[in-house]
Amino acid sequence: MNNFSIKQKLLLYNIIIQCVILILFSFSIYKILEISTLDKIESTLKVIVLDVVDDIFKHDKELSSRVFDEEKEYKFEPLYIRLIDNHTYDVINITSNFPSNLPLNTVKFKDLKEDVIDFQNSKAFILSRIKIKIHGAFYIVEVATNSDHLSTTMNNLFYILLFIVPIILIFAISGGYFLITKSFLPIEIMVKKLKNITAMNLSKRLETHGNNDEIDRLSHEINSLLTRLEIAFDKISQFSSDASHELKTPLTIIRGEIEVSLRKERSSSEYVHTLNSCLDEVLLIQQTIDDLLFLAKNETDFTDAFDTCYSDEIILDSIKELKSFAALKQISLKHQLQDNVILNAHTALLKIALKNILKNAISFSHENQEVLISTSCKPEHFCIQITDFGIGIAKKDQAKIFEKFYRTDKSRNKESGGTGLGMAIVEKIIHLHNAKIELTSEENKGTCVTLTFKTFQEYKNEH
Amino acid sequence: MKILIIEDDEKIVNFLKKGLEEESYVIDYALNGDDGYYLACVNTYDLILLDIMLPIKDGIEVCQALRKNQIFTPIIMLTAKDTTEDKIKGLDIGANDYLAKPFSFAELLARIRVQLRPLNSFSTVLHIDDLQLDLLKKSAQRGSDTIILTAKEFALLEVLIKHKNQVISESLIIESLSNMEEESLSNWVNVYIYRLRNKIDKPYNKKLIHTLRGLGYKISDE
Repeated sequence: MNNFSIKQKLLLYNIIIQCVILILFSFSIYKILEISTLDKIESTLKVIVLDVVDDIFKHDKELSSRVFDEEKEYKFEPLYIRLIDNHTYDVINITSNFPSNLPLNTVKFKDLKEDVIDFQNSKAFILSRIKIKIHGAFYIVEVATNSDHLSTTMNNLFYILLFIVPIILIFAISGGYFLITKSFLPIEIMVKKLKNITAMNLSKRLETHGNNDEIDRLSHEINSLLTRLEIAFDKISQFSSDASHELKTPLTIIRGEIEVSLRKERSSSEYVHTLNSCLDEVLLIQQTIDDLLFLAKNETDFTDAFDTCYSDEIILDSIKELKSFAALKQISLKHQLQDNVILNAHTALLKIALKNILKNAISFSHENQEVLISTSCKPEHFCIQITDFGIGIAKKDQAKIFEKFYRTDKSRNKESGGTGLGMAIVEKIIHLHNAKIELTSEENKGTCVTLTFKTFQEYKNEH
Repeated sequence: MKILIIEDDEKIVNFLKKGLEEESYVIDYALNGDDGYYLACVNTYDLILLDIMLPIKDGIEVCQALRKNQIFTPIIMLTAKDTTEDKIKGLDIGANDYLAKPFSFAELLARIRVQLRPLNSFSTVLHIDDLQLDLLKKSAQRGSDTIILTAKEFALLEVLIKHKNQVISESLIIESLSNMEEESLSNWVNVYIYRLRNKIDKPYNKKLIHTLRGLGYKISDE
């Protein structure tokens, strides 16, 4: 059952339901007709019984000699009538055609009440009887007819149904098949089209007719899913191409340096130079791989190590560790830490994030400028702002700043240093802390990065 | 033989320059596409090594612009993009060869030789009279004597032999043998021609290098 298609299943259910309905329908028709036919025969018999009784009362002198002519009178054939003495169970009068195989049911006679018509159905006969009182003695009148009246009708109906039900069933099933095929046609078409969409041509879309029916809505949903897939796919291929470029460039340098060195005998200082150059590239590859691994890690790998930490402590530590880096460009790191809070954070990671932001701020500043870190605390959030007054970032590049391997310079020039993963790492760390990172920048004026934390405890700085 | 390297990674430029100069090629380089395009337009190069991902103008644009500008200097593309589609694209827009990073330096040299050798020839040895110049071994031989040449002397001889029986002006020699970093002295060519003559002509009866006053120099076996 599980390997049937929905179409086949629906067709099967359709057949089963149609069969059940038709069988129930035929059965009830059969029963209703049986009951009503029997009812009709019984009421006819009742009339005849009463007529016979009426006749008997009119001519009560000739109980045994009277001829029952009701068969002709009512044109109801065959009709069997007999009169029985209730005391002796003798048959006093009987029509000539009375069948011999209809015995006297003496048990019933006793229970029979006066002037009440009773019916008795057997396989071959339908019989009605009444107890009457003439001159103080009780008699029973029995009027009977063959069951043929009933069984012929019922047989006819049975054969009609036997003939008609399969025909109806065939029509119902083919109608059902038509409907099912018709309603699945758009889906079949859709499947055919979707089969042609692969990773190579993700930009293809399904047609929509704009009539907002179920199929149209499904097409819309599939199209928007395809759009999301396409974006994700593009991002992944961009990432792998970037990653391969980032790893291949240092490899090219290492291979080139070594191969050129090995082409002839060289002085030891030349070898030292080559080895140093290779070491720089190896360290860069290692840093890139470490950064990639960090980005690939699950968030839950870090949340266990969360602890309380003081915001000013982290900031001052980061500044201290970057002092010498900033000094290379004569950049001074200033801080204005008016408000300080206790954060629930992964101290080491938060420091990495701050240092990455600071490093960028220093790298993109001009010489002799300053980089400013300030904090501010409002009742609902705590902000850390890192502001530089350097080259800034063009509007079109600002959104992409957090993408992996993104460099504002298209050529991925490495003059500015780093692996190109710094801001992606910052974003991940800040998200880990349930915080927000925002960046505002203007070209040639500078950049301001704002970190906003929602969960924190205030504390008063004692110094 | 003069080669222009257009590549934005200075470290790659460094080892290419060092390795190629040791192979007696003369090297100019540019760190972005715009400078590279400018240099290729104003100077004459025998070959261009072109990266694809470049600042300002990428390698594809540079290549297209050069070909559009009727500059048909052989171009070898050096790039980290190594899919077949990238290679086809690079070759279709006018590059002569395509080498994916990281590449083997020896292979790069071989491919450079392919682009520089004359048409319908696969020999790596140049001949004139009884003088042989082996481009692979970087050695010269006259008769049965092996002559040891410096890189500059070798490059000069290579240029002369490649234009054998033609007069080459002094300025053409300067252009093909010096890069932009070197300050060329006025008698620079004279000095090298003198040294070269000392090595390949002086000990032998038949002189190959001829001076045509006011015109330039010629190597000829006639």
